[in-house]
Amino acid sequence: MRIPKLHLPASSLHFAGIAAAVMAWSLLALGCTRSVYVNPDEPDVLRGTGIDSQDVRTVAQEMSRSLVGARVLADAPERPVVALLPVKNETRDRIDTNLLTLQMRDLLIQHAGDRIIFVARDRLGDVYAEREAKLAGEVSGTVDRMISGADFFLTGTLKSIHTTDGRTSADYVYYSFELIDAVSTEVVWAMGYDVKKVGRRGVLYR
Amino acid sequence: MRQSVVTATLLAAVLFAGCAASRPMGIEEYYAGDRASAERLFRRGLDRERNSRALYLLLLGTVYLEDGRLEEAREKFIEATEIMESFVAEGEFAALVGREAAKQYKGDPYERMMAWWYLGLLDYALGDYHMALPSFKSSIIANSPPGDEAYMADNASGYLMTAKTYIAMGDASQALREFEDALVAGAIRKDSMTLFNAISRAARELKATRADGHFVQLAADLTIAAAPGVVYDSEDLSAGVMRAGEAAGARLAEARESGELDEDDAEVLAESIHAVSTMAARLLRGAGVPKGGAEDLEALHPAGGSGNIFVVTGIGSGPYKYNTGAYGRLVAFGRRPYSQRYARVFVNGRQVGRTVTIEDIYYQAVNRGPRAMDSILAGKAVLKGGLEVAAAIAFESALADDDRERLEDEEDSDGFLDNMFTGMMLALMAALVRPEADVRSWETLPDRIQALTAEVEPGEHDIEVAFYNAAGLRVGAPLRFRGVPVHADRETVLYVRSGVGGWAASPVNGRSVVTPE
Repeated sequence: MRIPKLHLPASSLHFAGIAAAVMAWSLLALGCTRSVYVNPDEPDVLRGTGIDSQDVRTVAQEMSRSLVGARVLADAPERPVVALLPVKNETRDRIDTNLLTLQMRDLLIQHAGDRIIFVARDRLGDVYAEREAKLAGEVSGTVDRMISGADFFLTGTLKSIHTTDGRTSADYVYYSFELIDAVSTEVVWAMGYDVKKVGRRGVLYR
Repeated sequence: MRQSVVTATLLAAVLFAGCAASRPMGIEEYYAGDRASAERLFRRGLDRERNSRALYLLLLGTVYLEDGRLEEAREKFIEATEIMESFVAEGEFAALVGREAAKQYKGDPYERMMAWWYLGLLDYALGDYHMALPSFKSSIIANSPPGDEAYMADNASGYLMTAKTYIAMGDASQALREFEDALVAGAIRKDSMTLFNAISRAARELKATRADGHFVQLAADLTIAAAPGVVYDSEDLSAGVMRAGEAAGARLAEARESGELDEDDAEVLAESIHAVSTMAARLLRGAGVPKGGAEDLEALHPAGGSGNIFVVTGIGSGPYKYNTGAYGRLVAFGRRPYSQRYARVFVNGRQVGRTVTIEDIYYQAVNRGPRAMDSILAGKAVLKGGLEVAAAIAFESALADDDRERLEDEEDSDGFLDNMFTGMMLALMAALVRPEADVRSWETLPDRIQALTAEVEPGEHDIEVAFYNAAGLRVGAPLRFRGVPVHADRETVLYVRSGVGGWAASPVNGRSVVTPE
């Protein structure tokens, strides 16, 4: 089949060119609204001087590394049982501090799972329900073990100082983590990590 | 014909300048009680006004808060605070060269303070104390004066709720430290400091005008008159300020008559002097400005298991902004009138107490201090004035050329066209320079936040909140909440906005929320 040749006037071609440019620009603009994956270790520009994903990851990695090498774990005759306690957040940042302890737990299980046991105290209700169902014969299986007691509690505290001169703001955050003997309350391991961030507001917002 | 061209050009320039933008849509509907329309307009604003997104989130958050839609309100306040705290801002260049309202809205310190505070209150009411704590801390920080840490924030409501949150989290010693700060903040805010701040502001405005040395001297007099009152006696302070105010008023009248000051500057000065003198007069009458001092806050002391019901009321209509000064380059705060002064709370028909002021939002708004933008806007106002004068001269020259050509029966010369072109360019540039200040603000805030704690037997109770005016007469119908669950060890929180609505929430047993009947 032969395709007929079109003869468009120059003005139409000119208009078509402009239309194509506008459409291309619109597509590019629309493309900018797409969400994209970024490296979680990148600094988060949106959060200002507050705690961001980079801080959470760095702190969890530093703490886990230190804990793996701690004598209390290395010299323990049996694998110690560790329970997570909520981390106290005394900073101005609304963050879920479970993010820190969960990352630490995951890293420790991944790299030192043969030397440490974690118990899921936050799921105790579900465990009790399952045990009762087994005891009542409602589901299969037997209750042949006790619920594990914790040898240590892993917890921490976040504290901060905020300063500003109206133009520049600074946030200093101190992350302190500790392993507490669940019988004697002795602190058998502790480590701190601090971060300071400075940000400047535009002249219109001072 | 040529005169028509000049007129048309001027008209076009005026039209091009357009109206200043503007206060948010939906406010009139909100205050008229048409909540459905207000919500619809706030939603429209949220969709359409990209640079006012945080503002419309706050406005919607208020509606949801008052309607007992707590999770939706919390969602809106979270997003709003994220935008307000971010260092990333859109429209900064446009705001510098055009109108200030082109910039992304991030709120004044008092608005940021209240956004965090409401967010904290919702966290607290829903039992999320680990989130309430940073929210209330952020509320305090949002209102902290810049500089030395020795100067603490004066929003007692932030310290008070931080203290209560520590109590809920089981840290009594930290709670008492925070409560001490709340008392200090209440004391700082009380009368003499308020007056001192107002005078300092007036003095700054006096200095900022194109005034002569006499006015700078008057500014210094006002500041000196205010200084002893901060430490010593508010009565002496008030009397001194009133005398200085009278002197300033007399000097102002002279300057107006002699043409020493232009009308805009004179208007700003008159407003400042009037505001300061009125405040001093109120103090002398013993009315006190504002309420919410340490003795009021003592009633909310959290020590010793203060109670299991915490009633928070939002009273009146909060501050709104409007333009004043040359080309609207200054922002002034207005306040809608209201008659409610406090609320009484009844549990199963028995009165358990009346609310006391823990925050004065209007006070927080007017004490924000100067902004860097104020100087930029002042410069833009001077530039716009200069361009307008230059444009007028060019147009006059064009018309003079035209008249001359007609009288002398000359052929068209280049003089008219050159002057017209110059005039048009200058008029266009003048129209482009927009010195008007941004008057977008969170207008659905109440004027004051009050609170009450009470202890009642655990169980389900009928709770009634009624508002009263200064004469002790009931205003409007009371809000009745039926079957509010109250527990021994966790506070049930009630929030009531005068004349609007409210809710009661208990963090125990699946966060039950009760709305009024």
